[in-house]
Amino acid sequence: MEHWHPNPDFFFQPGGGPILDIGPYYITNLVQLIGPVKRVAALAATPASERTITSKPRFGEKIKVTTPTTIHALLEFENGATVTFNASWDVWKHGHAPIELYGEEGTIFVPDPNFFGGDVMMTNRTDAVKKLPKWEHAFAVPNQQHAQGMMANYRASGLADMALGILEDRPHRCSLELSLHVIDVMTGILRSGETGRFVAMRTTCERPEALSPAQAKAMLARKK
Amino acid sequence: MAKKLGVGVIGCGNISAAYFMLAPLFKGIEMRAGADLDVKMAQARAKEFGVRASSVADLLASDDIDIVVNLTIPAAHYEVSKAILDAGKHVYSEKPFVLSVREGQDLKKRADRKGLRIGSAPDTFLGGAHQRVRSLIDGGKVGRVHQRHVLRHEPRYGALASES
Repeated sequence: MEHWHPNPDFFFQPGGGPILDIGPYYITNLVQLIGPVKRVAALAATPASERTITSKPRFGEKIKVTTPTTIHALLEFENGATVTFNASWDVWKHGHAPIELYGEEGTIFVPDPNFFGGDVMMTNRTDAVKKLPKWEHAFAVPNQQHAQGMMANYRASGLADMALGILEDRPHRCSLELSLHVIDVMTGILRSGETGRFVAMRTTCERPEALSPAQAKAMLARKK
Repeated sequence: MAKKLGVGVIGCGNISAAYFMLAPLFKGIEMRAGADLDVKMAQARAKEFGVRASSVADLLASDDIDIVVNLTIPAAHYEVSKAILDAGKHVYSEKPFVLSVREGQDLKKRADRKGLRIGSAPDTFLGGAHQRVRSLIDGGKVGRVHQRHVLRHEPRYGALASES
């Protein structure tokens, strides 16, 4: 945020904040995995009313914070699943996995949904937690060098899926219905943070169709 | 040769590089033009990726552009997407798609009237890791999911930046 972006003001004004900035990755993934949300509630806080820019060229300049930077939200899904969602720009270090998913028969540890790849860990009942063996999916293959090592980056796959959907006359996965529902969830969380009340969702959506390994492979252009 | 749709970009800032760089990996799309209120930004990206630099008005009037990708700042998403749809082009927006349900419903009306599509990032859920989790859940590997815990804490300093 203020330590890397040259003009970080917008992060700390209404329309910014961690829910609208990073929430889309998490909430979209939850909706594709579990389905639509029924209602939400949240506590919102602004521990620091002012931030100091440490990026160039405005190093040392202060920014006023006018949107919450710490949010604790509860989400109830239409199928009955209950979720705790926590987003903050006020934490130095923590020891949590990005997403932990609890089922009747086991737990899945989901990697950061800001990225396409990463290790999926799982356990059944009382078994030890295991990293699952490699899965052949075209959009998990590392293709870019990052500071953390080689990573899978297939941004624009949603755009390509929409174009192919138009050409093949079928629905696309990163759809209006899905993104509108995610906006409903995020703005509902912020509203609940202001009012202290549960907020019922006004929209709903179908889960986007899964993208199988074969379907992902078929989306790739042949290498020249 | 397989059919492709022509793609133009409005907003040639940070994230546009990812789209111009990665789009050629996929079937169905061809990046053709970039526009920005700051003409120099559009020219720099156009040169970098071998597409044409364009004004927003020219981009929206171009016959070879079928889909316009909206990479402007969140506060401008609604107005820019509206202009794209009103010009008769499909729109694909960066996240967050809009800042209110009302704005999104208005865009849906405009798109439906003209038979146009709207899409929006994020698309990271199409990634192999998340589709695998989807297959585990759909295959009943952990039974019915009744609860989950999601955490996103951005370290205040020293984190690796990946967004806009």
